Amino acid sequence: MKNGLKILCIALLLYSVVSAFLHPLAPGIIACDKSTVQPGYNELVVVGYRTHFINQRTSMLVFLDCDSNRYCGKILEVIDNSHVKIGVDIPDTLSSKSLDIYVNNDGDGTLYLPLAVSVNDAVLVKGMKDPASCKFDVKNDDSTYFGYPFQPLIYETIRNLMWHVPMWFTMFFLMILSFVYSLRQLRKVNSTTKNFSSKHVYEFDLKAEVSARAGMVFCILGLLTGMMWARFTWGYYSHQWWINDPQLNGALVVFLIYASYFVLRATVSDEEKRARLSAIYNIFAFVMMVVLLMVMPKFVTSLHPGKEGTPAFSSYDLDSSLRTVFYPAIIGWGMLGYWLYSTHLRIKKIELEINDRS
Amino acid sequence: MFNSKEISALLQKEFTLEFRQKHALAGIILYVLSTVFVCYLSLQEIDKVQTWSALVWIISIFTVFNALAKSFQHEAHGVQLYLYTLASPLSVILSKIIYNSLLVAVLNTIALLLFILFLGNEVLADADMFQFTVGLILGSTGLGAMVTFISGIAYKAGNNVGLMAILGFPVIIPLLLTLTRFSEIALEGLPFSVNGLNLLILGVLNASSIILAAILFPYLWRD
Amino acid sequence: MIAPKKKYIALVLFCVMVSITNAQTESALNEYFFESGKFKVVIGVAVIILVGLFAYLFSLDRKVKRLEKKLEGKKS
Repeated sequence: MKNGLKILCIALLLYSVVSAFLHPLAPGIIACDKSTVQPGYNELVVVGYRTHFINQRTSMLVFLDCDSNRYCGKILEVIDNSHVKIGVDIPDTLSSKSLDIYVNNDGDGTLYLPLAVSVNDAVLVKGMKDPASCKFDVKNDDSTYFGYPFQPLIYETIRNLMWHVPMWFTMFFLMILSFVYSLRQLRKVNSTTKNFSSKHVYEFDLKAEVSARAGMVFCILGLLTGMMWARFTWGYYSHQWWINDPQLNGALVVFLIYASYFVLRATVSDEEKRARLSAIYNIFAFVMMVVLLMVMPKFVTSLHPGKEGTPAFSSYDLDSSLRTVFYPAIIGWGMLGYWLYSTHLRIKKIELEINDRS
Repeated sequence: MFNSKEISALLQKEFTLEFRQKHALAGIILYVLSTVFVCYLSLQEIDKVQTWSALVWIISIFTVFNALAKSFQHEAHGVQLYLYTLASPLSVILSKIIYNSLLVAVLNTIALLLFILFLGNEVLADADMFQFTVGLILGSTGLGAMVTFISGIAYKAGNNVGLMAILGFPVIIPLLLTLTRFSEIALEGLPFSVNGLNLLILGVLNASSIILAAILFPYLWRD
Repeated sequence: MIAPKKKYIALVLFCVMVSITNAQTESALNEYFFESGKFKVVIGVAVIILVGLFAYLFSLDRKVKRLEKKLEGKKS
């Protein structure tokens, strides 16, 4: 790797790491103090995050929403910037059991907490239009505070997009590299049938092995960070650390495939045979892995634990504040992966050279 | 390259060998019987379609790994060398895949019958049997092709049964996952169109494993 | 040299096991990580990545050290 590229890699990583930490989060609502209410008059405390309730007290609107029927709350007390106490009348007949909470003010824009409270003992009439639904106008829908998008359940951990996701991209980059080198190794073995004495016959095999090893490091990191992130997003109500998420399961399969690739390498002692067999297995397993990663997401709807209230991951990419950090982060981490790979490779080559001379 | 005469001759050889070693096949059937019986003893009855189809395929996979572990083994090294000079590697692998797929299909059917015998056919009440059979056939060919190829690699790497399981299981997971989904839908009696995507994936997996085996086997075969 | 290292690893593993099995600790763990909008999860993820990269660096370092020893052995 050229020195200029190394400096570029460092610069990109510094930029992505610093902005991943320094960028603020856009305001949002985290919770409501009661999860179940009875029909009739209720007092609720709505908890915001990074909101500016005190400054925007005059333009505050809080309402509960149930299939577009709105029940406006009377603001009783603004406790501090992130707590507001409201009183709201909930009717006996509703179109569904759970209510969403909306908060709007001129500074924070419209904030929204889906399925925030559920109403006990209410008469449910599907698709009803409540004439008591309140009317108001909203002046400012968007937040005036710039920051990463606030997502329910995810909150600040949206920053993990710059840490966790590049691990996968780097892993894939290195695994593809390993696959390509395995292909070239097979072709080389074929073309130099007689000439096994040449030292460079197994060069591609070495490259395939080392890139798979470097990729494995990123695979393990991706697994551990993914476990951590998933647990504190979906898993905290269960006592499991492994969350049944297709991405995480797929990652474990990738780990298993490359672990068995190394087991295969360790069992075969003959150099020529090892190069051939491991290249064959690498190619076969890589294709199966690609198919698997096509198969797994198909089961997302049945496996994903955060179906309610967790947004799809693809919606991250739409936000420009994330994109400007996310792409440099991926390129930077990918370059770091290649850097580590090439360093490892050079060490291996020197080792072979020294062993040859002695 | 493709020589049907060669393939049929090799197939004939496989059948003759199998008939000569009846005890091997009997051993595998005994293995299936005891596995299903253990399932019966620990579960007594299964009323969930999901459990039923998952269990069927898991038993099938263990059986297949056991049955095909020796698919390259039961010929002495001299025979291998002789075959190498006589037949093209393409015919060898294709004949092995065809033979092993048939064997897997037979073993799966036996496992299924034993399953119904012990655990009852409640689950099959509103099953679409045609759909399920399609899944069984596709699953058998896919398993046959993949496990044959993996057993070839394991054989060349020193013929270690443990190694074959280590190499094989991660590779087989996509197939297993799709098969359980496919047969689940079939057992629930849903129309074929619901299973379209699963069928497509099964087809892709079958085709890709057979094509890859055909392309890569010549490299594996020569020594 | 190796024994204390192993002890530390065992200690960390033990703590992890306890936190996994003990529901009381579990809720405390959740509380700890949920403070300030789950920011600590991000720090945890960053720490995991750093530790992983350092572990890789250590393994490379050990390889180089082995090579150095080999070279020195040849010179003398």
